[in-house]
Amino acid sequence: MTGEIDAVEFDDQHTTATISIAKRIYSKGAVLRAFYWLGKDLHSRITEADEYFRVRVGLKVSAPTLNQPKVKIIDEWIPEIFDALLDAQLRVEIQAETAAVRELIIAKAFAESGILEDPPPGTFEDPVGTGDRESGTLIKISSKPPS
Amino acid sequence: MARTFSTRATFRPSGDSYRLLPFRFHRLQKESEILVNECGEFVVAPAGTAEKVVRKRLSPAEGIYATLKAKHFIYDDYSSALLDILASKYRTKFEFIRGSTKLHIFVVTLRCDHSCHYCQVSRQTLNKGEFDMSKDVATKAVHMMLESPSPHITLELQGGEPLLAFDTIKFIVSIAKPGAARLGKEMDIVITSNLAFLTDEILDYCKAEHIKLSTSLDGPETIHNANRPRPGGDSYQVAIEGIKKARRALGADRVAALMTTTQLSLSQPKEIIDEYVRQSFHTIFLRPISPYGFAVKSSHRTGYETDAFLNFYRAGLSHILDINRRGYNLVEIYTKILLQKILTPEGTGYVDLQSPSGAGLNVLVYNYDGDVYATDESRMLAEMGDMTFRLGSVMENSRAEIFKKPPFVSLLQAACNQSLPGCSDCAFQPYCGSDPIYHHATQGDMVGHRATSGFCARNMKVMEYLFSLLQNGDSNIQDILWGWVTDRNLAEIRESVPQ
Repeated sequence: MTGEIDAVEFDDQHTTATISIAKRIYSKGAVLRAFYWLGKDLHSRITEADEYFRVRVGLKVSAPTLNQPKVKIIDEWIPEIFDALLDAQLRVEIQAETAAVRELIIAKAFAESGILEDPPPGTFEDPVGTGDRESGTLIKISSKPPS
Repeated sequence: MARTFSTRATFRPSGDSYRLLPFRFHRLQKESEILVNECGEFVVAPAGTAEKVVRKRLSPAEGIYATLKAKHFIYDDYSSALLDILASKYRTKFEFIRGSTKLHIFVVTLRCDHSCHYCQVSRQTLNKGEFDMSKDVATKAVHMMLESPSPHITLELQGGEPLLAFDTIKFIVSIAKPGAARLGKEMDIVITSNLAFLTDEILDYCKAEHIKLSTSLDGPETIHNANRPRPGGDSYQVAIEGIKKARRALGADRVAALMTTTQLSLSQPKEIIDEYVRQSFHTIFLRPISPYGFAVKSSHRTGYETDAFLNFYRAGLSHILDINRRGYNLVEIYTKILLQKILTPEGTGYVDLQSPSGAGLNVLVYNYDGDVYATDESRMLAEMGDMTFRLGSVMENSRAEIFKKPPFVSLLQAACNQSLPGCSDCAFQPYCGSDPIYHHATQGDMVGHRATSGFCARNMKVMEYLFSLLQNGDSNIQDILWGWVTDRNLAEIRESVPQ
């Protein structure tokens, strides 16, 4: 018999859990990032179905040891897993919105070092394209090289 | 004609009109989280703030809105992203790259009278003269050092025990100093010695050549002698006598001591710190355990050591803060380095916490036989049979060749935490390093698995602890820490703040 709590199913001994993660809420990048960091304590196997990622997680250390005298059971990991997923998804969204600006900052920071083959995009007066918001892009690429 | 003004509401940005600038975040405790922007400026905010910001639920009426705007986390219709300012701040953080290699370590001999277990892989017995650096190697190594573009270089002469090869030291200094002067470079010279062979003649020479001495002091007699065995079992006595003698001859500010943390040290942070105070030192470096020479590929062991080090560090720092409160100025260097990165626009010269990693870029090691390594740890690995970080040889390669060869290129590919998995979206990234050599040594991979990395666990926990001190520590603690960053003692800090 398996227990089922919303999108989480446990095996009989509660040593593994299978979590269904809705693709409309969490991106693949977020799922991978979240379980990367949880990899310190949990094994994970990620598969993909139509509308969900299914992640089977198990404890790396399931019984107390001298180095790790206290072991959390798999059920206790679930809140942390969902926190990690939320954080990872937010990070993906921040990156999506700011990646171009970040690249521009770095390009501008090192533009005078002479190590770049091309000058950074954008213009000094309008480095993030505030005059062209309807285009949906943060960066205004100028055909003119910066003066 | 009367002037009319629009109402305040006209100028108030609507909640959903702001846009994000690059930032990262990390949950600190249940109640709070830290947001860190691309340049390392931070805001500690209530838990859930990052989600609110990203989901555009932050209202301009909330106090933190203005803070996030001022610190370049968001911008709106009434502000600009000020990218050039951000770029300038970003560049300042990376100032340490300028000039390339600054620290040049010469291993003038492998001979040593000590048999310290953290160094035993490379140490040779006293009479094995074939492990001294030859004049030919020394000359080529000095030339390679002087090829570094840096206008200010440090020549560190170490071993083994370098004073056993004092003639080699004199030869190196005799060609390095005029060479540096000819090129208009400033040069500091440091001899790293256990001081067992310190003589008046050597001290006179150090004084004449403005050479500093750095030695090891691992703690009180029991710890020091256990860590650093030598015939007679009197390493501690020899070191203390040497420190006193050197201070008399050169001045207290020209004699420094470093401790190496071992398993034995971990249970005795207070005793170690008290020894530094007893010997009138004003700095101590609670350095992490070096994995080199240990069974480095055991993740459980590494994990254990990380936890043990963190307990050691917290207990040690707490004791050091108490000592400062009582009026004795004692700076913990690891904390100071991190706080400089957290609280000031500057980067750091400490290789382990640099990104790009300072290995090779900021430090080069010239072994007695002419082999060039990225760091002293790389040389240790080579002595254990792992030649991954042997960058080349002064006998065969130019400096330019060394930086184009596969060992350095591979190192560089894993040198930037900005692009490493796990690090790339870590909030502590601007304050941290990448340390590809540590990860190669402990995980067999320069990129490393950051989730299980002892380096990450240690630095993340230390930074969480420092942020908790900065946020929740009493004003004494905050004053002491700020004093460390600004090179002032507690009394000077208090004088500068209006009561």
